[in-house]
Amino acid sequence: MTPSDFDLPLTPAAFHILLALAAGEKHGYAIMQDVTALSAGQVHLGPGSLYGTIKRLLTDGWIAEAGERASEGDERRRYYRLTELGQRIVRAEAQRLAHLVDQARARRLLPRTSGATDL
Amino acid sequence: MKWVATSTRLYAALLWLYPTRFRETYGVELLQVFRDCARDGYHRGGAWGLVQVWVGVLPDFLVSAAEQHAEEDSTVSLKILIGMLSGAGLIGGALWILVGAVSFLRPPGVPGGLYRDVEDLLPLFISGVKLVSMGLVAVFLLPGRQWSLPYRLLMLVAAGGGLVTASVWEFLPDSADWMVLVVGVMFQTTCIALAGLGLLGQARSRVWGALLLTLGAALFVFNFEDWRAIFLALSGAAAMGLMVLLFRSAPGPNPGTPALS
Repeated sequence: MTPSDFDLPLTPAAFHILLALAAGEKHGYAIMQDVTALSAGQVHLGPGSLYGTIKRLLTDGWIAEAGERASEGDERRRYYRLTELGQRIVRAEAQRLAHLVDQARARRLLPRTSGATDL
Repeated sequence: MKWVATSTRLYAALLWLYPTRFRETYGVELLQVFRDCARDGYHRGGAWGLVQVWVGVLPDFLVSAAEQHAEEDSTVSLKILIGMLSGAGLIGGALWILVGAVSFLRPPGVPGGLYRDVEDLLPLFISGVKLVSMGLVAVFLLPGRQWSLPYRLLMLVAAGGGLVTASVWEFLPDSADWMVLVVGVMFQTTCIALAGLGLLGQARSRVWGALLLTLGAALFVFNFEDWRAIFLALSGAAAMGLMVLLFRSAPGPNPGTPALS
């Protein structure tokens, strides 16, 4: 399956959540914090948008539940993980974005750096 | 921390505005995440930090609640609508086939061979046009959503045209004559046949194209005097086929799942 077979481009919320989970299993609040950090504070998901997107990603099979366990404060939380399909999709989207960055560099919109976009 | 607890209780009350299924599945987690946000906001900036959390959360809550209602309500109502149309189509199609077969087998002039006469067949035909039109509405609502604009328009015109034609004939018998019915049905037939022809050329919609062409042919055949009974059988079969396809493509639990190689 080629990257073009996926439903790309992803929405910013979906891409950031998949990217956050690419680092490992996380619960909702950890995903939210990671998204804010990844985007340098430019993308902030509210609880409703976060779980609305999580619901769609679960339905599509891009992420899966990884069970409930106690976290800080002894409160049980549901964790989520990236599926193999989700991993392929987030990689395809990252490659698509990297290609766009290359195009921007070729048009001298960005300074040239050595080998920064090979994914 | 009193303000954090009060804010959490307020947010818990707001959660009731989400659709039941979404609230039951994610309500606890939504509340946990909100409480975490509220605590962080309070630690950062006290009461003002909490206000900033609410400023971010409220628009998010309104938009996401509307989205979840649109998603869940439309899926449920589409399911009900398709179920009703499919059930009516299957029963109506089966009756049509039965009546067509019986009337075709009975020789003319035999007492009880009702449907060989145009005047007797006509009310049945008008009911058929309405049934076909209902089926086209269902096609427009489900698989039609995936088709390009010209096919969706043809479906809509064919469905609307059929319903108007049948209604004009039925409710305004004095002002409507035979030509109204013929022109209306021919117009509907043309739209259905054009959509069928176009869809036949598209790999993913060939079955729909074939069925629509059969339906168009059946409506066309009715206009030749000696083949009216066959119209009943053909259009009944096509109506049943359409409804079976609609059953299969009704919204399911995973409508957005991409196909894997």
